[in-house]
Amino acid sequence: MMRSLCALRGQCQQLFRSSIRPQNSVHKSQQFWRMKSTDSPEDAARKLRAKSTLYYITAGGVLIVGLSYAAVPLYSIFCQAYSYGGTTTQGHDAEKVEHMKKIEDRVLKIRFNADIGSSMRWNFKPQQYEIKVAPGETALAFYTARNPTDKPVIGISTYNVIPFEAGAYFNKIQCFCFEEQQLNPHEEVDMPVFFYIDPEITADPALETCDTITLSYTFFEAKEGLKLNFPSYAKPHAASA
Amino acid sequence: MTSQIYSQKKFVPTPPEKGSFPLDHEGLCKKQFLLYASCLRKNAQDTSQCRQDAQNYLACRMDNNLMEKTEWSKLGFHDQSTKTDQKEPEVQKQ
Repeated sequence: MMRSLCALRGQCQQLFRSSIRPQNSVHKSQQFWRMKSTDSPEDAARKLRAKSTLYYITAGGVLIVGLSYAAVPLYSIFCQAYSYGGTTTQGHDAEKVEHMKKIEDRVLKIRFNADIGSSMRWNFKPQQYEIKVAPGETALAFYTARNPTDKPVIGISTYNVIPFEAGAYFNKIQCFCFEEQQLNPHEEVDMPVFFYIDPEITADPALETCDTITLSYTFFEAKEGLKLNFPSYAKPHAASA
Repeated sequence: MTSQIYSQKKFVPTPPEKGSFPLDHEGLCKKQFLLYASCLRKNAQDTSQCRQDAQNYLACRMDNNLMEKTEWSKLGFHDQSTKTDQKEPEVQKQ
């Protein structure tokens, strides 16, 4: 009897368990369906937010790069408009010369150099090898050119300013450069250079220790149909065959 | 090489404000030039001491049509203009 009762209980338990399991599976499937339905809008929202973030970051990057490129000319325009950082306005200005103030505590030494081209036959030299000039004050210097030949010679000159950074502050009011000058046979002429040093040279940190400026003029002969002679060591490429 | 390439500056030469001086073929202002040169030599090449002689040279050029006539203040001679004005009555008296 006891054995039969135990067997009956076992069967009852088995039936109970088998009845419970399918219910669990049904619940799980329902939950899974619910999760699926709830995931769709959440996923869409997340994707939308991710896309928006990506777009904003990309736009920010492009804007920064663009502003970086535009900063250089914009800063230059700003400096020229307000003379910020010692940037001078472009071009010459007679009124600027009129209202220029002489700087007393700094004196620059201007050296003068004269050169001629290889085919030029003038005698060209500076009348003074160096002068002392205060920034903001106009100064006058002289070169002398002489034509020792028996025919008129037309010369044209270029100039260099050393150091290079000082060239921006070396302003010539009147000189003899960039124009053809004709000297008649055996004629000697004094050529003046009227210039001033911009007083803003004192605000340039690159020229803080610069106290000497060299002005170099080079005269070339200006004539048409110039033919350069080949040097003797230059041989043409002739075919030996 | 790289630093040279990137730091190479482009030198844009600006023409002089009033162009080129006409050549003094006949040496009309030679005297004023010599006075200016001697003044520089006396004052150890200091141009501030020789501004009167420079102005005299430029005045000679203007008088002989070798330079365009301009106000002295626009050439940087502020303090000299009064002296020039003072000289005028003497000329008138003569």
